[in-house]
Amino acid sequence: MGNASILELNVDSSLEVYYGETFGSEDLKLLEVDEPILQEILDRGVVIRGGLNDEAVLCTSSRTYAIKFVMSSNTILIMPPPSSHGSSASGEELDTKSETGGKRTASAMAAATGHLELVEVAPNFEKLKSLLSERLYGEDTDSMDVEESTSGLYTWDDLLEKLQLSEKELQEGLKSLAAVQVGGFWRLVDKKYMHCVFELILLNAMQHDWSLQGLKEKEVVSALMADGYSAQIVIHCLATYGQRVSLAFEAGIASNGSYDLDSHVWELNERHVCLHYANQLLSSASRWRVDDFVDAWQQNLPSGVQASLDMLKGKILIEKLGSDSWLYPFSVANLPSNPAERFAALFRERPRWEWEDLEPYISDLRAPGKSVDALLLKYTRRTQPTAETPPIFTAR
Amino acid sequence: SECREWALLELQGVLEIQPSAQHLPLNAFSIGSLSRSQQEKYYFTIGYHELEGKKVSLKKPMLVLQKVLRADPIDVESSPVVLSTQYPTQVQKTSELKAIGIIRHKILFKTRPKALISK
Repeated sequence: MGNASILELNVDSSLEVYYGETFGSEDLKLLEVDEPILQEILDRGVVIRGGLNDEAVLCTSSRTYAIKFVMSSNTILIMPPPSSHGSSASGEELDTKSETGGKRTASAMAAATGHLELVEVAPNFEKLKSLLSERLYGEDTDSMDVEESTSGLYTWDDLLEKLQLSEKELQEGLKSLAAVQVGGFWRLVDKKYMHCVFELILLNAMQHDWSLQGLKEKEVVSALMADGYSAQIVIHCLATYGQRVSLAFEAGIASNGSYDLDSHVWELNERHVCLHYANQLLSSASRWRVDDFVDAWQQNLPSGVQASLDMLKGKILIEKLGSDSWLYPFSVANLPSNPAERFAALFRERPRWEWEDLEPYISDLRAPGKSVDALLLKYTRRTQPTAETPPIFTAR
Repeated sequence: SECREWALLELQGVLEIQPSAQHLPLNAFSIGSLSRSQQEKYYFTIGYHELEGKKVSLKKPMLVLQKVLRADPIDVESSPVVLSTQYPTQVQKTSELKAIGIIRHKILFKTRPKALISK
């Protein structure tokens, strides 16, 4: 270990540079960083993930970066600061017991052949979705008490291990997929099953005259448990299609006037309720005259809930055939998440798009460093016949 | 957490050990002599070559990363009892690295070396 720092060499002085004791056996890497992630890496270290088939990525708690190695033809010696005990960095107080006999020295711990650079990448949730789809949580699962085999089931740690996502991204992915943690494993609930549970909640609400803005968790859970549904799934359903409201005093006070602290109250999201019934209609017939659809839709909804076609943006497309308007399902959730593929799919469906129709099908696209405008510029051609008519987008 | 400032000494070319010294342990001898003449001029004398360079600030800081040591996997052959399991065992594919230093400056030598040969 050297006793001086090469950075603090004074004018008209010199030092000897030595190979360090562990030179050649140290595996050190140089990583170029931006100031923002510098502190995080210092505090928490960093993890590099990547199997044989994936490219290596570096994950901080919030973001994922692809790693690029930039080779250098130079000889780069990595010089640690002098050991903290003994002489000062400038070498003025010399350690007379040192082997160098009082000379100023610096030692190289390793030589680098280049450095690592980080390139921010957009998280890919496709693999997460496919892993969690291996064993969907469905009707069969709920009726079993304990699942026997754990193959195809993944815990949080398993998912971090297998996926190239940072913790925050994994959290985001799980939330976007409406995954639920059951028995320590993250599960995707079978869509049909979720709709089934939701339908039952709505039916019970109608039957018992419960307000959809103030559903009492205890009541909902006990009603559905009587039909064989697990509390966890019922609560997951409430959380997916609504949100917890802050404890309303009216809801919390029991009939004898005492304050019921256990009473969690949920408010169902009006849009989700409307979508639920819209989906039912679309499953029964895939093409509807718009007027017929709106009538049937409103009729099926619980009282007090107002539907509007705007709620179906990104889920249906409307086309004019003669004097009639027809709608059919076209969901953004079924489209590729990769921008190039997404635009290709959209233009296959329709060669020309108005902005109002196009927007819901591209607003979720993520490309690192690219705004929606940049993506539009890259993949579409914009024309605007006159200043009054809306712009039209076609394939580039 | 604290991380001290390290430095880089960068030069063009490759360092070679003379055949006569190859049997010696690496840290038995110095690579060369580094000196600073004026405020901005650094000299590095390696063997009979003298390099002239200067201190440069990196445009982006660099971290020196070292692998966090994990216990070595047990030598399979030496274990008398082996667990046979239906569950696929997973090969660790992540490496944890710890930052042990920050680098913001380097001393860079990129001019042609001058040969110091006494006549």
